[in-house]
Amino acid sequence: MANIEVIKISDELWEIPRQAEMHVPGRIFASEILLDAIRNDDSLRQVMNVAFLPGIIGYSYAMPDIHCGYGFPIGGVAAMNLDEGVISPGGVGYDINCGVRLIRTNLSVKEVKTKIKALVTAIFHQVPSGVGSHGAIAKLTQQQLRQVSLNGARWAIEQGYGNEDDLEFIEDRGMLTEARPDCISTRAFERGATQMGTLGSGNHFIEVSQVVELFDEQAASAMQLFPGQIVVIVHTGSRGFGYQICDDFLKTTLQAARKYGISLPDRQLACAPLSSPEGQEYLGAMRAAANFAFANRQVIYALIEKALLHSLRISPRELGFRLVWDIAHNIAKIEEHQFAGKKVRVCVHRKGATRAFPPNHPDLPRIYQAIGQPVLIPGDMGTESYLCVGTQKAMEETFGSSCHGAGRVLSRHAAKEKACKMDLFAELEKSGVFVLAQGKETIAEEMPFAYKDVRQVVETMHRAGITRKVARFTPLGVVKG
Amino acid sequence: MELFINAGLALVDLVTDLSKIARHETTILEVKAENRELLFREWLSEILYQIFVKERLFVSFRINMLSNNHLKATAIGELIDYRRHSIKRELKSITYYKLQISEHDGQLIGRFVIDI
Repeated sequence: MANIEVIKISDELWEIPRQAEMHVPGRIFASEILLDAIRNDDSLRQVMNVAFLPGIIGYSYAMPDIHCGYGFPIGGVAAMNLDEGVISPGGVGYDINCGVRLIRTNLSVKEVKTKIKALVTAIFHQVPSGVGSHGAIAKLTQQQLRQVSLNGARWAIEQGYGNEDDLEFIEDRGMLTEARPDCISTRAFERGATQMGTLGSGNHFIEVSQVVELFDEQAASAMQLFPGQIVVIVHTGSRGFGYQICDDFLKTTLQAARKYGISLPDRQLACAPLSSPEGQEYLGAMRAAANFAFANRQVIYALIEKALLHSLRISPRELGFRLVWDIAHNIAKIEEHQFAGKKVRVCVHRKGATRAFPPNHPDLPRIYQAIGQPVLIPGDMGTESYLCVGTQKAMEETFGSSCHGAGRVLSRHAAKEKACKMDLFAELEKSGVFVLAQGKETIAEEMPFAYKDVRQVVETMHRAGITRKVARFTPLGVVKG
Repeated sequence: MELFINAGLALVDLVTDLSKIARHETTILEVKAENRELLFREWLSEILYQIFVKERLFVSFRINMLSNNHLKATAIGELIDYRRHSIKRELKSITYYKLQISEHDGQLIGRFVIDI
């Protein structure tokens, strides 16, 4: 438990004063109740440690879903000056471009309530999940993986998974430019070769949900959402390809930190100057992994559509399967922001945090210009998820960032211990959620009691003015790896 | 040596039931690192790679050579057979977080944190 001095700035914002070798103070978005939960692990210490990194500007930020990570806290945001700042693979995480995709349909819960089990089962059989699951598409060669690395979601569309129009609704149109496949190890290519179009295990999931509440009719209408509607949420990332790239570059940047005289409070914060060859190589390799993740979610999206069409025996027009938004929540990006009255280009690390750009931002598609960027905040599999939009205040206060989920309160081990005497599938079904999973272990680790109350997390950011609530979803069926 | 062998077995045990792994084949593993702690992490990373990329499970290890920065070992086990082997979870990586080898009452204790 961290005994760290925290000063109240407002009901939703707290500050860790600059001390020791911190370059900037820490800032935590949380209600008093959430802050008490946050104090139970090492995450506040990790917020301080991130503030030690050279070139960090503003604050070392923590979102209300913050929990202890490796080096960086999960739910942490750090913006680095491009001249003196660093880039850290630990500030992105192993699952590079782990993210969430929200898909709308024309279906209403009234029409399919009795078919939920069949729909979830169809998705479960169509989308490979769990350990050892191989891609729905054949093993990729290194040459093909290089194309994936460069083209992201577009690669998947060219293979017949989805349509060109989908790109409009993916962060960065599903492709980060200046990816560097030449900086990727043979081992990373090996780990990624059989995993395109796979969900994976751990906290990854596909959820069939219903829209239960709309908070902002205008934004919901722009996203073609209506009460009682069936939506699908996909949570996965760059699979073994990204894990290996992170692992490789932690090694590289540990050596680089020593070479450039950067002292680290934690080895997992290994980093390299953004201007150094090592920093640039990581940035290029990370973008390649991010593009793999965009392609992976695009393939899975098309597989889910196929499963639903086949299961319901309806036409694509009747199904109305369309992407609402695809967002990254483990990533580092070079972005332009206003800081201290000046326009600056910075490298924003978002580790378990989402981008939350405001209305009229040039990076948003035309149809979301008036409402702001969709921000997807999945809760745990037994309760609810939220759709919000970014605001101008997010640009001013958090480098355009917000929270990404409920955030753990119990470690996986503690959750499993608590779950050992429960019939988990029956518990979830009792609460109206049909779950299919490859392994019981994952279910135990991901039970609702392992997570904070997502409502409090979302409410904190809504009250702080960083994101605005648009819609609330509750799950009907879940596929877990 | 015992620390490296036991940690390796603990890692495999997290993935599958050790008692279900047959002794069908041997694999030579070799890792290098700057110091003993990093060598420990490299060793476990190598086993993780063998499991999740080469699809090999190991039931025992024989250390052939060990210094502070170099390890050679023979791993005994078999290829994963998804009908017989239940794979409990996917491991992403062996992190550097809280990585430590310490000595207590004449015994070596290794600590490593895995991202799953």
